[in-house]
Amino acid sequence: MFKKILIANRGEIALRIICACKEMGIRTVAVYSEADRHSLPVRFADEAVCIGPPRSADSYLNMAAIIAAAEITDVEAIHPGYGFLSENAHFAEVCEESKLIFIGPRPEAMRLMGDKNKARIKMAELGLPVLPGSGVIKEPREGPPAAEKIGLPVMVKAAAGGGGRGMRIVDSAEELPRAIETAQNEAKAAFGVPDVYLEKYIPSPRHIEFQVLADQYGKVIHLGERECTIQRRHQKLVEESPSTQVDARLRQEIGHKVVEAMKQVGYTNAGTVEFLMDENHNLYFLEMNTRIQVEHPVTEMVTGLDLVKHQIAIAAGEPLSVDGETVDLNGHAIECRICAEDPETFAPSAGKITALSLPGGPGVRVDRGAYTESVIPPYYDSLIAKLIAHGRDRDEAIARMARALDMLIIEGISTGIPVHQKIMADPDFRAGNFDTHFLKRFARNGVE
Amino acid sequence: MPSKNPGGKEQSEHPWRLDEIQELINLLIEKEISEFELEKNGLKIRIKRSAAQSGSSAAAAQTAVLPLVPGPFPLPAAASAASSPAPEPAPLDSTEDLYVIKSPIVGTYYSASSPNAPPFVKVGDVVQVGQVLCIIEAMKLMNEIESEVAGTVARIYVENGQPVEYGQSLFALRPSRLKATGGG
Repeated sequence: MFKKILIANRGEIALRIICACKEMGIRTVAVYSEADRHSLPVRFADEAVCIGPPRSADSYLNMAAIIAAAEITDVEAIHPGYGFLSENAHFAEVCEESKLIFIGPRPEAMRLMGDKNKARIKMAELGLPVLPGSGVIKEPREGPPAAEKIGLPVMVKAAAGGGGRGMRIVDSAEELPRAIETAQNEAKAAFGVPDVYLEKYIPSPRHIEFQVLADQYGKVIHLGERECTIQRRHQKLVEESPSTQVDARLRQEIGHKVVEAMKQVGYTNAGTVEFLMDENHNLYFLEMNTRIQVEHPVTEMVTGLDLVKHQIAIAAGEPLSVDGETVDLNGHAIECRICAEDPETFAPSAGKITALSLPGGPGVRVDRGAYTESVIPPYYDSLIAKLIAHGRDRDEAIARMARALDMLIIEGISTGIPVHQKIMADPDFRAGNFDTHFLKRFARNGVE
Repeated sequence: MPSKNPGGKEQSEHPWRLDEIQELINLLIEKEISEFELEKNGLKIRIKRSAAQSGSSAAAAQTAVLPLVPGPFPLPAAASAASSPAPEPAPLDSTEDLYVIKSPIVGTYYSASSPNAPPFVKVGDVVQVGQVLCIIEAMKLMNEIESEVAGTVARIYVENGQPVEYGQSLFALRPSRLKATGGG
């Protein structure tokens, strides 16, 4: 097992990794930008190294600084968390060259899944259902014939995009060439690669994702699904496990296909295979995230497994000691992402937290990087905390979440707590009756 | 004064006073203690003195004195491999108008171009803008750190072979007067 790990991240996920390391007796090194000098990960890590000024590009995305910090603190492995360099295959290779273990999958798997179009093609080959789509569209005029094969409406998507970025919906063949050209320019600017492809557009989808764990010896398991349908502009707000739309048969069927596909690509460590679900409960592969996800706690609550510890153990060469393809899911868990934002306009709200009181009680977990007197800096994402509730069933989980939201005090900045309270009280949400457009009902004038 | 609650158990709530901390620091310097760590009554102090290159060892001491209020105030963990994470040099420097050169990168500090070579600079040397003061090695690359001002080397805060972090103080220079250092 590792003696010392460097955490190449910040905020709540850095603290989460420190939690796992502390419990495993592994010493930790936190790297931090000047904006995070007084953060909780810096406080609770065994050692801390300042790696740059606040800007991400100069600090948390600065590979040379991170590797240099790893060298001077003599760590054996680096955990990249999520975001930042966690899905950067080149960084994984640099770690390898520097004789450091990257806690995550191999660079080849990251490259494959990082190209959204290639990933789609590969997963289709391996038997996963995928949305009808095109290959890379080079010339805008190739658009209309390709769209006819797929069936309008279609989505124009950037091959190197992800996380909801670089996508547009096109309803008619006439709009298509111009939409493709614009998307190509945007893709080039945002992701460095102009490649775009077309995909069938599902008007009222739900978002279902499967968690996988794979060791270095070919053993792969899935940990069931999470539903992440409640989103605003493709950013997840509420996640839960299991999904009201996935029965045991569907879980077993898709879970098995996912496990087999992961074996074929030789995947290792943690990952999430994302699907869209249409009105008829058909699942279509969307993309794969080759890292730990923000919403991993809901899976931890229903399976009783510590996913971060498993990531570390797998990277250290330990085999997965689970019989069969999966584990039982117990009860129901929901997560609400509490962000620093105006609850009406949803504009980010930076500033200092003057009071923070966290709820506790049965079945409630809080993952956070904020503390009283902390400042939510403008340089990074606006996530303050993740509130997670677990219950024997979905009703109890919702009741616990509503209660926990009432007892969560965050003063000094605006937060999305009121929106989450509305969601938990909403009859459609409570009935499991929603799609990705659900949040429009709370936006002003129906516009998000 | 420490208070005892009615139950007879002594509470460790005696808050540190600034003069007590100063006295402790003075004692450590007087006794030439190079490394010291103490955690008591809600305060954690870690003091590590770098080798003094000239006279005042008080100025060369890098002290990480942490906030007096216990509890949620985060205390930056001292990197045991790197020196104390004091982002600012000792207060003495600001009254003397010294210009502090800070490390622009993470790495290992070397005072000379090779183990047998003489150091690039020593205290008292006059340096020009752009003159190489040291090397910081990171990922097998040797980065030459150049002076940003013209002046006299007043203090060197780090030791040869020491790990340094971004923003760590390396040198204090006494800038030369009336010297134009270029357009920016």
